[in-house]
Amino acid sequence: MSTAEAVQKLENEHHNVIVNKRTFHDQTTLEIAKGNLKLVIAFFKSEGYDVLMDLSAVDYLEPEKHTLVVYFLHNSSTYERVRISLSAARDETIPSVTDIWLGAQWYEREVYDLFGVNFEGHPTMKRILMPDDWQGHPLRKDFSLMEVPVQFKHGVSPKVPSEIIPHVKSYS
Amino acid sequence: MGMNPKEKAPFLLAPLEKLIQWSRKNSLWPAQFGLACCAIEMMSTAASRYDIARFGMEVFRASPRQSDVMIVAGRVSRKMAPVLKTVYDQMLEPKWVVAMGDCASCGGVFNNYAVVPVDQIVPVDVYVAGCPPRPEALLDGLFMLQKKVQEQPVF
Repeated sequence: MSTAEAVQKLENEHHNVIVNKRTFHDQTTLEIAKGNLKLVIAFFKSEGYDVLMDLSAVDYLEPEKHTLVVYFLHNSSTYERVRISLSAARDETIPSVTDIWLGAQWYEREVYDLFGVNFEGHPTMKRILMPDDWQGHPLRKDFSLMEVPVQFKHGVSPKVPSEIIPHVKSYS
Repeated sequence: MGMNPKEKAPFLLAPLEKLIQWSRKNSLWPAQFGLACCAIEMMSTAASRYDIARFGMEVFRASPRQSDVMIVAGRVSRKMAPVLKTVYDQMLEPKWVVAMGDCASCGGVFNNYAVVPVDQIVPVDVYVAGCPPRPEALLDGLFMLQKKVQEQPVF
């Protein structure tokens, strides 16, 4: 069934699960709370959204430091997609969906590696892109860029990136 | 060659060294180390238009133990750096390294936590600038390397 119908059915069956719903150009984004994640995911899987296209995250510094974890679900029979997002504060753990989709293992390892979001119930939670003994989570907005000042010829001295990007300037 | 080496060595040594240097420079076998976009330009250098086989380097050995020069073509990320060092250590002497492209030479456009310039890991002989360098530029860098090999003392 289409996304709008599936969302309507979700609203009818479980009230107050969806915190926020946004539709833009036929793309639906649902924001939910952490405790309802397994419920919503299992509901959409039973409605035919059987492919986890992507599991990614966005880091925010306003109003407080939090990370928005985003799940993209895809219906392979009707080619409809839905986006589910939930926000995690620093040092907050989120239930893992590896028991529903095995492929989520590497996605969650990547989100842990680069954003620092822990997933409980994950079989092997360790770094996947950075070296194993790396400290810090690079894609957080308050992680410094670790840039090296570059020497240019002919008296040219451009600004380093951390002086140009506003949020890095305030946090570096 | 059938001659008594003790008698003939002082007389023959210099031309022999020249012969060895000439034969080394004309049969440099590269080790495949194409990591990113510069690898495409390295492949096109090895293809028919900018033929690298004219200079004896068409044999891109997969095993580092059978190769002379390591052309690092592409960005080396921080996780790849120990692997690069391992492959370099497995090469037999004499060996040379060509840092192809901007990312291998100096980090290129990337000035961050992830990309490491190659000369922080292995000693580099020739840097080839460009993003990516044209095949002619890579050939120019390899000619410089050949000149360096010709002047390197053998004994």
